[in-house]
Amino acid sequence: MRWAVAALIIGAITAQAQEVDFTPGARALDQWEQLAAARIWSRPQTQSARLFRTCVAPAKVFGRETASVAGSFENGKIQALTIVFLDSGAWFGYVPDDQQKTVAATKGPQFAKLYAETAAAVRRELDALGGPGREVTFGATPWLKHKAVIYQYGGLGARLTLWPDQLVKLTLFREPADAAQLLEAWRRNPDRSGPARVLAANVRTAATGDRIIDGLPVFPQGDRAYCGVSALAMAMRAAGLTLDTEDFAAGAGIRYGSTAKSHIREVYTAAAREAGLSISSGPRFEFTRAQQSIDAGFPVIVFRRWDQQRDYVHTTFTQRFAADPTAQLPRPDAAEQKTWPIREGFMHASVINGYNSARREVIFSESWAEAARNRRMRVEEMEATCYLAYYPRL
Amino acid sequence: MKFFLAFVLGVVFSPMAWAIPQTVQGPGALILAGRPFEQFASDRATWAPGAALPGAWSAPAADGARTFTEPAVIFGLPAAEVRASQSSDRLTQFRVVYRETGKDRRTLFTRVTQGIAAFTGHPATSEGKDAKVFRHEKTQIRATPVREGEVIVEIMPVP
Repeated sequence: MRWAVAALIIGAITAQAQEVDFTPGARALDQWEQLAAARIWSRPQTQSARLFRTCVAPAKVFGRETASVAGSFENGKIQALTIVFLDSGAWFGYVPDDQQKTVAATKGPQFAKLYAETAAAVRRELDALGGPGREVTFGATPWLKHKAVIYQYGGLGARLTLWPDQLVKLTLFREPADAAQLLEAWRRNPDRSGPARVLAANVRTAATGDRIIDGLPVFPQGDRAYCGVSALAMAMRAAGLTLDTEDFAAGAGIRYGSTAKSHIREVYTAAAREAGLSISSGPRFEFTRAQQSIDAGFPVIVFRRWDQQRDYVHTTFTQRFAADPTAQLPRPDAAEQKTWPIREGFMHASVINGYNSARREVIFSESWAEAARNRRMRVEEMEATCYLAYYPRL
Repeated sequence: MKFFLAFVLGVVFSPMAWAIPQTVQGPGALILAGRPFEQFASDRATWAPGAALPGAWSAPAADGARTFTEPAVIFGLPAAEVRASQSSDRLTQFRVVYRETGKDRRTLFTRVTQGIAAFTGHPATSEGKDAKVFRHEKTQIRATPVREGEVIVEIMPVP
């Protein structure tokens, strides 16, 4: 009977792929098994017991449409759910820097009103479920210091994050104590050797000779000016910091959909500190250094020049390699190198989560979708097109 | 501080339509019959007698050729013009024209042929001063630099 009910619920969820109601799961832990089984989650193309999956169907919670829902899974069980009710970047969409002032003036008041209404409504729901929450301040760094409200009810812990006029986000935890901690449990041990072993164990050598970090989250940035903060969130989540793309965007001051006057470099440094890491950076991509980082289980973040034609080459080669691992990216000659976007071209952030030294290739993932995981590029091209690289370490 | 580029996840008709950089404000990969144009053109069925030509094409001109009426990216580059030639009962050729007026015009031919080689997975089967010819499945793809800043790519079935 219990299974029949579960099957009905799952069936209802999958049948109505247009919209999934997460409210039962936001109210009680005992609903999470059904949610985990529903066919609403992205399928990460990576081998790991620990996976971050995005809900691919529109979702609502407490009667409100959400901007996004994501789950942290461990051996198929949901460990945490992140529900973004309202995010400035998603609401405004991408806004070119020169339009920020106009957009802020015309649409800013409407967003501020919506923020106030949404924050109050979600808080009312949580207060009704768990009583008045406990206000805490997260973050030891000025850039990422923010307030949240912690609740405990229905067998779960809840963290309501409110960045004024920016973000309303609810994170639910299977283990209630986790709600009040920025670091995941495995990272809280002051002895660093344990976490170092966990991170190094995520690195696998494939039959192709690839050295690759398994389980890297891919957080889709969507129509938001968030590639830099999404890449940061992917790397920091892999290191056990429970802050999301939207938190970093808020900390960096990406407002009204624009990166104008934002503070991305400062937030990178702050995020590393919050994660108990050190992070070094340089204006060049250094392959040897990147190999050392990846071998230790730390992805490397690169800011690089991007263009559509090179992206096509990387995309098509990645597809070809998946079907035929003997396929080779040609060694670049002088004529090819002239086509790389070195001084011009769009600025973009990517996460390097692997390499193949014999093939002289880096393996990188984008904050776009699961399909943009483990793409491939010759080392020479990354060296030529990268203008800023970050190497985290314990 | 312009460190970011926003990407929009395009409608994922295929893995090739992963993302469209929003600040480019340009067209995405040309999709015909649910597939990228390159794959559509490589399919033998596309060239079969009576096969339909899906998509936003103009009415046939006097010579029977039809022009694609929307912006399109093919082999990773925006095309200036895409034409489909037809005989009485079948498609006979696609002709894609690329034009570049900026300083990148000097590398246009290299970039076009890079894109074709990436798609076919092979270098050109023959190349002379005037053209590079690629084979992919049952099609021949010929890229010709007309002048600096203009390249024509012709795709046709191999008998």
